[in-house]
Amino acid sequence: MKTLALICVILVLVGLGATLFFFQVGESEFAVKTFFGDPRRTIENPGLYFKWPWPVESLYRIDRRVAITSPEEGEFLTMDKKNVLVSFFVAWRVVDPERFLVTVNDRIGAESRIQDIVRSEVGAQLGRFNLSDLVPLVEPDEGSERPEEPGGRSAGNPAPGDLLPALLSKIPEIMEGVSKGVGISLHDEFGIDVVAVRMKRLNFPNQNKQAVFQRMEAERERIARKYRSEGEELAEKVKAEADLEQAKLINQAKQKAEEIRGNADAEATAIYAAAYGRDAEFYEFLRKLEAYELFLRENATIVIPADSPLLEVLREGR
Amino acid sequence: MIGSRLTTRLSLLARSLLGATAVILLVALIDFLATGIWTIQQDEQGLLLRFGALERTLSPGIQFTLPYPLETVQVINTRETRKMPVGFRLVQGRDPTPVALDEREWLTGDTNVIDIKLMIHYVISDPALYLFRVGQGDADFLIRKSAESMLTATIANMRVDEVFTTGKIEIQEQTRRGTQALLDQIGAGIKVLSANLQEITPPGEVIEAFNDVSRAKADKDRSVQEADGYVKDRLPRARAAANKILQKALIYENNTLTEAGGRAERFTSLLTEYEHAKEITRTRLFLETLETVLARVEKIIVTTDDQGRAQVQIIR
Repeated sequence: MKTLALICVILVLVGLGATLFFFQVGESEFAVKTFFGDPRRTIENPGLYFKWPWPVESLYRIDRRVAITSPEEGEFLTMDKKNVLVSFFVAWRVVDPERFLVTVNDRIGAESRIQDIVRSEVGAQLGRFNLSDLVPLVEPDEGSERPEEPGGRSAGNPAPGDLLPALLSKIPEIMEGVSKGVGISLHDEFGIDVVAVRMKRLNFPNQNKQAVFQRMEAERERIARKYRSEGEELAEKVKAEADLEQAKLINQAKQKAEEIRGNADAEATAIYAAAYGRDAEFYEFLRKLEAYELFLRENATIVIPADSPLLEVLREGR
Repeated sequence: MIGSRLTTRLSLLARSLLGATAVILLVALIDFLATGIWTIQQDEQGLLLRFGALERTLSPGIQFTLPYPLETVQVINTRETRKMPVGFRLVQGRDPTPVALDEREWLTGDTNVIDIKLMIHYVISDPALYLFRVGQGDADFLIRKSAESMLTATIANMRVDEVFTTGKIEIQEQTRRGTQALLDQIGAGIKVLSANLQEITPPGEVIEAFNDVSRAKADKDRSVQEADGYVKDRLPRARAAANKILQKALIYENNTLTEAGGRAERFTSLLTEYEHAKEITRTRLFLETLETVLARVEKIIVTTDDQGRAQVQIIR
């Protein structure tokens, strides 16, 4: 029992002593040891370290991991005086803990400085580019006084074959410029390395958005109209073709029918000629008889002279 | 006597106090030692930290370490697929909730504003990097920010119609690749599995106009189909009418030729007969016809008397 108590007491004492004289530095941090407030040593490797108890030596821990700072979006002006709403984020980390500690003290301090510096650099960089460098497919007349290019392409509806040169947004380039622009000063002044600056969002400010929406709407209307008239055009074309086809079919049939009729008449004439030609005088005789029979119908009246050969027998009585 | 009893009592009390303390101490000691026992699940990895410094990786199973604070273990699930919504938020992992405009609106290359919802799936591929390279809480935040920046840069190169139609695959692919590249550049220990577009919509203010384009497309299809129907109806009718015209002509042909043949034949046979006895046949035919004709007509017979005056006799 006594030994157990002894072990415990020793452990507790060792523990207390350890916390007074030793400290741990984690994987994710730097530690700066100050001797009566004067930074003496920066510890960059994790592990267990010795220090004199407060107030002789004290300890500042600084996160060495990459931090993300994402300030509120802001309005910027492009070179061609267009308002754009841009938000960005900065990935940064502390590389010189001592300088960091002296200049900005902690993350909150660092963030406000980073925001200010990066924001003004973003403004400067954006001011060197036109809106069309950010959004390369923008129409040249988009909300500006810039004179329209002669023969400019029609909005939202590029003519086929109107191949634009491969235009790519310069956003990555611009942000690369921002990153380079702020890199050295942040490093030298605050001991901060900028890992990346990226544009998170690009948009128009609210007061300009209404115009954007109106333009979008007009563009959609134009496209809708185009579809509808295309449909009508196609339908009319197909129908007209069908009508033509129909007329062709009928006319061809008529032509063929006339041909058949003509041929039949010709053939019949030939047959008649061949037959009647054998005795034309007899044919004429027969044909006359037939004609009498046809034109002397019931309501006809015939005047016969009494000395007609027809009545010869009747008259002579023999 | 009394004093001795008191002493005895006090010593008993002291002894029991001591006993209680001993029990407490023992429990504390066991607890202390128990901080060095770890269970690591199948899909997890443990990072053993000695005095805060990374010592080694622990594999799944039961693991023993020195007690806290000498050694500690951080356990990370490296198999679980995690999700990070972009352009929307997850509430209890399910329902998309409305977010501020600036979180869901993007600008296309032809300056159309559109709403995009995208889901990033990722796993923690390197627990040490994940824990110690990027700030806690910042790591997941970083995925969203990276994806947003990739979307911004990608969509700035596209027309709005492309975004809605053929550009989707490219958006997903570029976002995935670009996000991974940035995470690798930073060394976040994260592997992006996929970037999936959940929804692309025009902003509410203009959605009606976009819908009308879809309707116009449908209208166009319908017009074409109607025209097709017209053609399908018209041509068979035309063919039938043409056929009828031809058939009529053929009937005429047949009639005409049959009649001609018949007549010719009749004439020929008559002629044969006639050639045998010309006068007789002639007279017979003439009288037969006369008979037929005169039998049905009104006849006026004009006779002349001695003075040459005409006398009319009407026979019905």
